[in-house]
Amino acid sequence: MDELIYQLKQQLIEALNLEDITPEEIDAEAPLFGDGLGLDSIDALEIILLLERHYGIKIDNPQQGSKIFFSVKTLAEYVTANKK
Amino acid sequence: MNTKPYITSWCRIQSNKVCVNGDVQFTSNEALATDEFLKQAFKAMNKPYMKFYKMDLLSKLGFTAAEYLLQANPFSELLDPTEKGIVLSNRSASLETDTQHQQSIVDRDNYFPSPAVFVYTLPNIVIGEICIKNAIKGENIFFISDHFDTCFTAEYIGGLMSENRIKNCIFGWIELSDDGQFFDAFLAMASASENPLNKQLTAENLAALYNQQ
Repeated sequence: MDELIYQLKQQLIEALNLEDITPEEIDAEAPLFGDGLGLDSIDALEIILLLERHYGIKIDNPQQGSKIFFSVKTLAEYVTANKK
Repeated sequence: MNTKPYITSWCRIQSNKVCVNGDVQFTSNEALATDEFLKQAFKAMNKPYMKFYKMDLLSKLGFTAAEYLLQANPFSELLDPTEKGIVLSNRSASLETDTQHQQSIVDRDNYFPSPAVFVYTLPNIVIGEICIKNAIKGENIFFISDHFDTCFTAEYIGGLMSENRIKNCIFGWIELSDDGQFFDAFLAMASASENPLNKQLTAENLAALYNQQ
C-alpha cells in the first residue's frame, strides 16, 4: 500500500502539473480538494483519466467520487480494491 | 470631450525577454524552451499562483504579460470590476493546444483525451485566466487576425470607452506558433482618464510601441 500511495503521488504531480511539489510533501491523508492541494473539477476529471489509463479502472457512479477522491490514501484503497 | 483613451503602460515578451515600458524586467541568458522561459519569467515575479502551472502555453504567455503589466500599472481600486475590460488578438488562436488535443485522440487504441488540455482549446481562455486573477468583469473579446491590427484595436477600444462601457482596458497581441516555439506578446493598458504625460491610443502611437525594439 505504501508503494502504491507513493506511486499515486508521483502520478498526481505529473498529471495535475503540481509545480515544485514532491511526493514527500503530500500528506496521504489530507483532503485533495478544497484546502491542501487545492484541486478543482478539471483536476477531478484528470484523476478519473489517470485511474483508467494506469489502472484500467472506470468510475461508473460519479456519486462515489467524493469518497474515492477524498485523499491519496482513499484513492489508493480504491485502486487496490478495483485494479484490473 | 476627449474620446481617445491614453496608453498608460505596456509590456512586451519576445526573444526570451520581458520588457515593461521599454525597460527589461526579466531576461534569460540561455536559450530556453517556451514553457521553461515562461515559468522562469513568472517565478521571477515572486507571486505564487498554483493555477499558472496548469495553464496551456498561450495562457501562460498572456497571463505572464498581464502580471508584469499590472505590477507596473495596477488597476485603480476605485474601479468597479465591470469598468475593467480586456481586448486581445492573435493569428494562431489556440492552435498549439488544439494540436496537443488532436494528438491525444488520433489513436483509437490509445484514446485518452485530457480534460486539462481540452479546456484550453479556445484562445479566449487566456482572457478568462487574466479576468479571474484580476477581477475583470467588463467587456472582453478575443479577435483572430493575420497581424496585430493597430488601427482596428485603437478604434475598437476608443469606441468602448467613448460609450462609457469601460474605463480601463488591457489590450494587445498574444501570439504563439502551432509548435509553441515562437511567441510574441504585446499587452498594454488603456485608460479613459486624460493624462498629457501618456500617449493617446492612436494607430500610429500603438504601432510605434509595438514595433519598438
